Amino acid sequence: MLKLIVRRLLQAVPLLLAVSFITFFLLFHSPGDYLSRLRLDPKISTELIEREAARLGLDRPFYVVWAKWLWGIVTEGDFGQSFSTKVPVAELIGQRLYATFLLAFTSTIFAWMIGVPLGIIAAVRHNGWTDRLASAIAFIGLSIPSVLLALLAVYFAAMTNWFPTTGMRSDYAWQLTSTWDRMKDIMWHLVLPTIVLGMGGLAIYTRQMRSNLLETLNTDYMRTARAKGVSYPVAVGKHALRNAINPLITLFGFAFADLLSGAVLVENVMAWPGLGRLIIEAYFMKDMFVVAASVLMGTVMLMAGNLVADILLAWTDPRIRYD
Amino acid sequence: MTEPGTNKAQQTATDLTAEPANAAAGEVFAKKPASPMRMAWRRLRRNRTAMLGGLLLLFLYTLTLFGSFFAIRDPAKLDYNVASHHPTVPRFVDENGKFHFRPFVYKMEMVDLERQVWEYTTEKYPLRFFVKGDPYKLWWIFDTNIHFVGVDEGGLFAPLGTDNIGRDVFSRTLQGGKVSLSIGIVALSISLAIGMFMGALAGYYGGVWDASVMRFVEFLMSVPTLYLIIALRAYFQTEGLFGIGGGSIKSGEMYLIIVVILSFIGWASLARVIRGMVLSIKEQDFVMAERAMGASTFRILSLHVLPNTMSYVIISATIAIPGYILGEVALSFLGVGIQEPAVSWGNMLDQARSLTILKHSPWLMLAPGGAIFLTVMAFNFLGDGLRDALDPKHIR
Repeated sequence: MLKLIVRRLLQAVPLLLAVSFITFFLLFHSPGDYLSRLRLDPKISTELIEREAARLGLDRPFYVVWAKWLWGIVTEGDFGQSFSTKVPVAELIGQRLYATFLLAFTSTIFAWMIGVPLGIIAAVRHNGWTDRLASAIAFIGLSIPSVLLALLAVYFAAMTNWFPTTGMRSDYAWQLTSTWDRMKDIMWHLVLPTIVLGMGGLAIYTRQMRSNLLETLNTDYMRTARAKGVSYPVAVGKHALRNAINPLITLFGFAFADLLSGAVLVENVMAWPGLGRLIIEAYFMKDMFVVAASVLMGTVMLMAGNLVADILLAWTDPRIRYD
Repeated sequence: MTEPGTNKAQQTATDLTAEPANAAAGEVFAKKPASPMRMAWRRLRRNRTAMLGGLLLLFLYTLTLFGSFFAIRDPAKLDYNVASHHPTVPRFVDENGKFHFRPFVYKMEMVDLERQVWEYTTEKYPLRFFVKGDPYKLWWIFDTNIHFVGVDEGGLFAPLGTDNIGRDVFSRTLQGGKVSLSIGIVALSISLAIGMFMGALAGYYGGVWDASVMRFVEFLMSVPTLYLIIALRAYFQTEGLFGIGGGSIKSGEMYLIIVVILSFIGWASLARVIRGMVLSIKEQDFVMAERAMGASTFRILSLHVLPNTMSYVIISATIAIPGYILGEVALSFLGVGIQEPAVSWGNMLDQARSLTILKHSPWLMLAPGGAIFLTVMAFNFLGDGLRDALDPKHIR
């Protein structure tokens, strides 16, 4: 297991280098930069602009800036400074990463908690009305675009006032003194984004769980188990389920990639202060280091998700050993 | 395998079960072998949801292809007198309970300008078919002004309502469909071409070529898609594609940019699977035989290896299209894709996202959103059916 983790980390290094290099290439070859807007302002002198360009590193070739940026990260954990907000990028990303991670985490939990049981019920009651209902839910969840679902959620929240429409904290959150109250406030704001973002994964897990379990229910060892007198629930729970759940863990990595992309849209609709919102804001401001760092962090999260999936797989399936 | 029509009873019997396995078992005592494609087509025909998806797609694409004809008004025409008007439903029964053979809409009157409250009047406008209306050009060639349906001057027929500057949402949805529905097909075709080419070469030649292609594929797949799209989009900012545009991007160029971005990302996963399939196919006897006979690599690949990956390609193409459509929607929705005055489902959703508009005129969100939902669902239905039909081992 340790070997797997070490190997993955070693593999990640060149990949992350390539991702950051290409991001810098793309960003530096895009016409106009952060200072373009200032250049149009006649009140700002050209010397000042040039001095700013030199300070921000915009006058040098992109690979030099890239190398300096990397060196800063490796030596001091410094991701540079945001052009527009003058805040260290690491600080900016840190807050946003936490919000995105929280949302991704709750959505994943939601998707598993609802999707897996739904799939099990659908398979056990094959072709019954519960099966049809579960399949219908899965199909709708699979087909509904996350943008639409997010807009519907905001509409729902606005009409009923049951949930906050947008954001992560209430306006009065700073007045809340106890940690518990603040946590409750965030949890309250989490409900709708979690459901919206988790829906896609829920659909994937339901469908996969259903078809996996249908397959295992027809196997010889299930018939043997039933023949020797094991009750149906125990046979399903002890024999079928354990075999059916493995492919789902493999899917976890795939669903997680979807989740991160979906989060960009959901965060933008529901004003969730996460990485996906940050990257769009920074993109429009041409805040290069923030965009680059966001892309890098998105990649790290995806890799971490895949690593977790592999570890879980090795843990649940004794046949899999990474040596 | 029976010829079509010779054994109707048996076919309808298997229709009901919709299980490919049963169908195959029922046709064991065959007279004449059918080609695998024909068998697949038969399995597909029996799958009701797949056929429903296919018909829905046919309907949506026809509607969009003749979008200007089915549009009620010019999608760009504004009319502040009917701004934010809710959908007007065609009726058959009037206020006195009298049945009209020709459907009609009531004229609405605004009673509160401030809060935009509309009230029904008793004035009726019957729907007329093949009416003269706003002039348009069908497929950039034919000048005409015939529309499928419309009402006389003075009435308003807006089956999906109007937006905040009085443009007809139904007509705009059709117009937006031209971008959103075609972009998926165009980008997918390019992806398929690149993916099959790269995958086939990587699998067939192996070595350095294989390693470099696969490393690049891994790179593309390791960045979350939307983050990668945004980074790529930055490259094309304002300059236009390959620097053609200069200054602001025209909508045609924007279309191309989105196609380039989506297909650049999309080929990766396809190439990886094709490579794997080619790796196993190239070891088979018929490829060996062909090589022994001195066939060129091009001939082997195009005539023998790639056709064997076809069923996978068809399935994955159908399943992948929604991703491309949603990619365009995401870009336009985030404000970095198709922009006004051009219409796409993504930027229609973008215009509907403010809280006041959502609350006051939800149809602005529901119309493009519903269109996307229907399209994606239809592709999913069809994709599922194709997988069952072409890959009978897969259990539903």
